Amino acid sequence: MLASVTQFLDAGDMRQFFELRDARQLDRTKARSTLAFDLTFAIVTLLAVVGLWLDIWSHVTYGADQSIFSQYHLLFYSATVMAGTFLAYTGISNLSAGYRWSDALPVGYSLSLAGIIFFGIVGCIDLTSHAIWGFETGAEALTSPTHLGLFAGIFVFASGPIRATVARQRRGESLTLTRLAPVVLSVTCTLSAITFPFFNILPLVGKPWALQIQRSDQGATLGVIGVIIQTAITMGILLWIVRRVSLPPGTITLIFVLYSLLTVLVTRIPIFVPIWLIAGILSDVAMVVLKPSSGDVWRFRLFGAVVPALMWSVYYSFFMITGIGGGIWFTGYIWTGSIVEAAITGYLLAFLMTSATVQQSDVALVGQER
Amino acid sequence: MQIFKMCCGTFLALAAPAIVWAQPMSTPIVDPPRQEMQTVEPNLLVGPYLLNVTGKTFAGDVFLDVAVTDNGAPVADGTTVTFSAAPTTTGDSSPDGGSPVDLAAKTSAGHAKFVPTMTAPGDWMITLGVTGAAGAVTATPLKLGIDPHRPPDSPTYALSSLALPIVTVIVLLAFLRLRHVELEQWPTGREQRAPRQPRQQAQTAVG
Repeated sequence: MLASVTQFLDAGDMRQFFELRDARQLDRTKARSTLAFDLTFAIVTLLAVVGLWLDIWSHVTYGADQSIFSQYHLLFYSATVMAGTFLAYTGISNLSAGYRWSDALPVGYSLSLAGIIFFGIVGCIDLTSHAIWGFETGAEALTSPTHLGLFAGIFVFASGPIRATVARQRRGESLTLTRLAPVVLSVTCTLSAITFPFFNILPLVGKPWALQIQRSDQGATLGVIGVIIQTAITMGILLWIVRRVSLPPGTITLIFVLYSLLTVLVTRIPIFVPIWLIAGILSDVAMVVLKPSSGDVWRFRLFGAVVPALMWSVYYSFFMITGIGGGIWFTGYIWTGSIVEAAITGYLLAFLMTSATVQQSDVALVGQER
Repeated sequence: MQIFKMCCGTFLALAAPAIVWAQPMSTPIVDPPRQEMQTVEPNLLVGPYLLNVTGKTFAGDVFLDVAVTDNGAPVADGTTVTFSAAPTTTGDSSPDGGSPVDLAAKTSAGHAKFVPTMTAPGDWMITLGVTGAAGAVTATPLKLGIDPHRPPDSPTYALSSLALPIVTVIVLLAFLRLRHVELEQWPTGREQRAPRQPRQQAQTAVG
């Protein structure tokens, strides 16, 4: 029974994500999703994420909700229910065709179903807590435990097409251009899910601390922290994918631009889109040159440091050249330092994602010291 | 003369209630439902008092409940709490056409309640003060954002939000079925969807 549950939840697949263990057993028994399946699921997921961005916009514009049945809740709840219905339909079809329940969903999607169920349970708790204790306002809406649960649910179910792509790479199938659309949509949605709790402090989304018009007492400190958090979020997802999937050139640009367009749903200020576009193109060039997916640890770690350095260099250069928002008020020490700190953050993430190899001789030395 | 007296009597009889009604009377403040209340200014330390302000901050619909404690205990009933608000004049959120407000209220069970007339959305500077047994103190002015009232829900928007994902999935699945596009590929040797044997039958076979 336990083996069936772990197989259903793609536990081996999860190990594949985090520890790079062999998960070929799953490939022998479970179905593989086709492009049509991945794309259908990714589109419905995108609708859910768009709905959540619009709900955040309504919070930013009108303050807290005044009813749990706000019209801005409908899109993301409806899309999530449809994503769950799609997976349930697939699972039930396979069950009725005689397959075991642990094999009922294609590789990568059992966790998506678990994420949707989790989202539903947390959603009910969230709506009940609103009815009893009232609505969160301001930062409360971003840090409320039930809302964090909803974001976590979206992260788990939106990443289904990524898991399916990883499984395909494991079988030696490379990511073709036709297969790219669901991956880009899925990565964008997953990135959005992590962004939600922090969006109002991120310099490349909602709070350009470095601009003259945003100048404040603690602005430099908050701005540098914002740079580090945004780097951790963006590179966390990007390195996670690049480590496992060889992305075709142009993928990072597509991900960055689509992501920035989604954030515009809240901010209604498209000023960051060109920055993401340029940063995406340069990151793609870095990917082509450094080949972080080749398996060489040093290439992967260098990519982890180079992309944030490029991203924040573009950010500061853009505002210095255009003078938008009064230009940059951070002193040279601060803005150059924040680029270095971003590069260090990216490198450390890459460092943590690459398993350390301990030499046998080192272990023997430790033994002798004892 | 009698007619004149009767007219005066009738006038006084009619005018007396009107004079009473015309007196300024404080309308009782009714608390909004709990689920409409939000945190406005939490844990505001003003001299010896700790203020917790909750309420509603929508333009034309402002309600503030100021809970005042002194050393962890609610202040005595009748403690005076003052509230003043003025629209900010700088920045991009200055209320348009807002006029300053000055109110005072007495506490009851440690709570003072205000319904200020703040009809313009934007940033207001508010100042709270307490005059009680522990002294009279005034807080540093704080910025309070007054949100515009949400427009009423649009049935078209609600229906399209609800229907969009449903229609998308149905249309996509119908299209894929019409074009005979498979959603899944099974590993070699597992394409044949053999129906499961009933458990009893399987046990018999094993036995």
